[in-house]
Amino acid sequence: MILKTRLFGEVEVKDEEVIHFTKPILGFDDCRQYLLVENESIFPTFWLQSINKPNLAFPVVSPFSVDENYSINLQNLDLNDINLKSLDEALVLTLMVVPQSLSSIRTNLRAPIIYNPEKKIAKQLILYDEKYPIHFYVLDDANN
Amino acid sequence: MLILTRKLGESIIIDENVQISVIEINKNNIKIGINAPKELTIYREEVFLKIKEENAQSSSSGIIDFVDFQDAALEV
Repeated sequence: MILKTRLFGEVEVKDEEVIHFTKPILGFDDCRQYLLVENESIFPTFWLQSINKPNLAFPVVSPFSVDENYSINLQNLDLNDINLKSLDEALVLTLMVVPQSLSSIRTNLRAPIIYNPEKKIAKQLILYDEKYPIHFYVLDDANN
Repeated sequence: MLILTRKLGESIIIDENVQISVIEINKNNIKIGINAPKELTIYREEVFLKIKEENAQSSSSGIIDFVDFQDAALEV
C-alpha cells in the first residue's frame, strides 16, 4: 500500500512495519496505526506517521536524549499491555511540538509513548509523577 | 450530569468495582479517595486536557531543514 502523506510524499507501507497502538495518542482515538519514519536530513528526524489519516504525523524524540536524568517506572500492567516483560525491551519516545518559532520547540516528557519494537505495539501513557513537564523546551538551557 | 449529595466519609460506587469516597472537606477543596481496578487510568482533568492539547499541537508541527535547526540551536 502507498500512503500519500502531507509531509513525506508517497510512503510505502509494509505490513510488518505497521505499529498498532493499544491505547491511542490522546485525542486521536481513530488513528491506531502508525509508521515510524526516519529522515536524518530533517529536524525532527523521527516521526510517527499515521496510516489511518495520511495528513497526520507526530514528530518524536527519545526523551533520554533531551534529558539525561529522564527515567520512568512502569507497573507490570503497563508492560503487559504491550507484551513486554521489562522496560529494557521497550523503546520510549516522546511527542515533540515544532512551532514556527524554533525557540519554542518542546517535547512532552509527561506522556511518553512506550513501544515494543519486536511486537510492533505501542501506547501513550500519562505518568503520575508530576516532576516531568508537559512542556520541556529542547533548546532551553534552563531545562538542563 | 448525575448529581449526588454525599457527607464526609460517604462513598459512591460505579459499576460495582469503582469506589469514590469523600475523605476530607475544606473551605475551597475536597479530598477524594478512589478505589478502582489497576487497569483504569485516573487523571486530574486539567492534566488530561493539557496532554490532549499538546498532542494536537504536536500534530501540527512542521519539518525543519536540519541546517536551519542547527543554526537555531547555536543562537540559543
